[in-house]
Amino acid sequence: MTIELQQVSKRYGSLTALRAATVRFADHKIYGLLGNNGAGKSTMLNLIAGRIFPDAGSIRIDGRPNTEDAALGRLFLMGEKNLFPDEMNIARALRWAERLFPGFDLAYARELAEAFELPVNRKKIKGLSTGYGSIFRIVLTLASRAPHLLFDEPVLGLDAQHRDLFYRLLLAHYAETPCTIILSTHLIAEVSGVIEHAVILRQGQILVDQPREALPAGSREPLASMLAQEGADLQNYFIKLMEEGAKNE
Amino acid sequence: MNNSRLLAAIRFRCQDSANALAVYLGVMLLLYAAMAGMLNGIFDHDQTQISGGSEISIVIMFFVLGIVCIREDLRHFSQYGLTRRSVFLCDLTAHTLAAIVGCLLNSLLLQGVVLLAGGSIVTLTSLFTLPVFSLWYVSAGCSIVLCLCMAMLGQLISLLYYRLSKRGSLLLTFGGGALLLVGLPWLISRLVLLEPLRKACAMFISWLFAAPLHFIASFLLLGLLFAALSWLLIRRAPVK
Repeated sequence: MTIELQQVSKRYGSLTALRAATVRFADHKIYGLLGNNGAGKSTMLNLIAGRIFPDAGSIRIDGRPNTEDAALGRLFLMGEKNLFPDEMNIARALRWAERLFPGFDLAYARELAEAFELPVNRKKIKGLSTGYGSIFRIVLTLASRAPHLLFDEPVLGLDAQHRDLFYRLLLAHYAETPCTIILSTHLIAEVSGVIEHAVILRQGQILVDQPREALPAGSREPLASMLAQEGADLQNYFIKLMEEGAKNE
Repeated sequence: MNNSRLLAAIRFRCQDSANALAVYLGVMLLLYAAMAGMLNGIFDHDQTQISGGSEISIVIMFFVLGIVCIREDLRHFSQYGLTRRSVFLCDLTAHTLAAIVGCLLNSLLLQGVVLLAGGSIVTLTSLFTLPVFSLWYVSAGCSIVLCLCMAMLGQLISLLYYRLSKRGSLLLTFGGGALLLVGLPWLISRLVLLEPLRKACAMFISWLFAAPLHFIASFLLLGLLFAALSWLLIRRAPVK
């Protein structure tokens, strides 16, 4: 029950987005996929979800290549973009999610939407604000009940209250339905109290792939203090790592 | 392959296509009613004609469906972990089903209008089918294949633009336009001067309309060619 990337590379023209990345996301863990803008985080998640193809290497989900429906049906990626048809409204999207993704928990989705104050009505998805667009995709991802949940910049456009709610609901979901969670973000301090394992990317290369506790000053901060920047230890370590990398070039 | 997800995707696409068909048939019904009413009031019954072009319009509708659906479905269904192969199969199945239902309903509608008009209306409804193959179900069969072929062409054009870079898209737009508007007429004007080629074209057209099976087989093959090219374009297409 893992997601495995073997020597995966991806180029966009002259830019190497991911360079021979080998990483294994084990079952029942919360991973932080950390890195600056352009580090290759979104590329890695899109590659795992089969939305783009690698130039080299292989990706397997629970032992199956990610070019199969059966493999892709075991994960749900909350991407940065809205991939829903222009005319689709929230209520219809949730109804169809239940049919298109077996295991999707419609009642839980409605519960989550209520918690986030997202109206489940005929409002079009494309008409949602950036924040509510993110919330809608968070609701879908959590309610998918997939064994592997991938979040790409999940708190984009969310206010402090909704961000706090997201992390609380994520941990509650994880406690209730153990699964693999990959959180891709550049907001290091915010997620330092949530993640169990950090994968740090820089210019398409994996710099660090270690449990949170193994990192310097690796104590997990309580959730309540997380937003008060008390999880800055990991952020400081990250900044130092980036600076060292820049010096070595 | 997870069949339940593929079946759900086909259901989704069919439902959307059914909505489009319902709107189309509603509009055609209103058009027929208006035209029949107008023409009956103006002309002698024996001279009245309807040139609804209903079979041409449904073919155009399927061409547009082909253009619109494939990109939308690729983006939408990828959210639920369906591979490109499943998206392609879904669209192919849904277009086939929609073409069968749409063309049969369209033919029945047309026959209904003719019957209601008490035979006073002479139909000139199609360039390809009704005047050539007078049996309505033969015409409907030809329409189905033609609609499917055009849906595949729409899909191919949509995917071409999806895969091409901005420069490639501009080149295709202007180059393709110039080829169709200038190059093709010029080429035809030159080729008709060649006697053997002209004879061959005339023979092919005669053969095409000689029997419904010829017509159906030809457009089915053309549709399959478009579908094969579309598959080559979609199989490595990024979701964007």
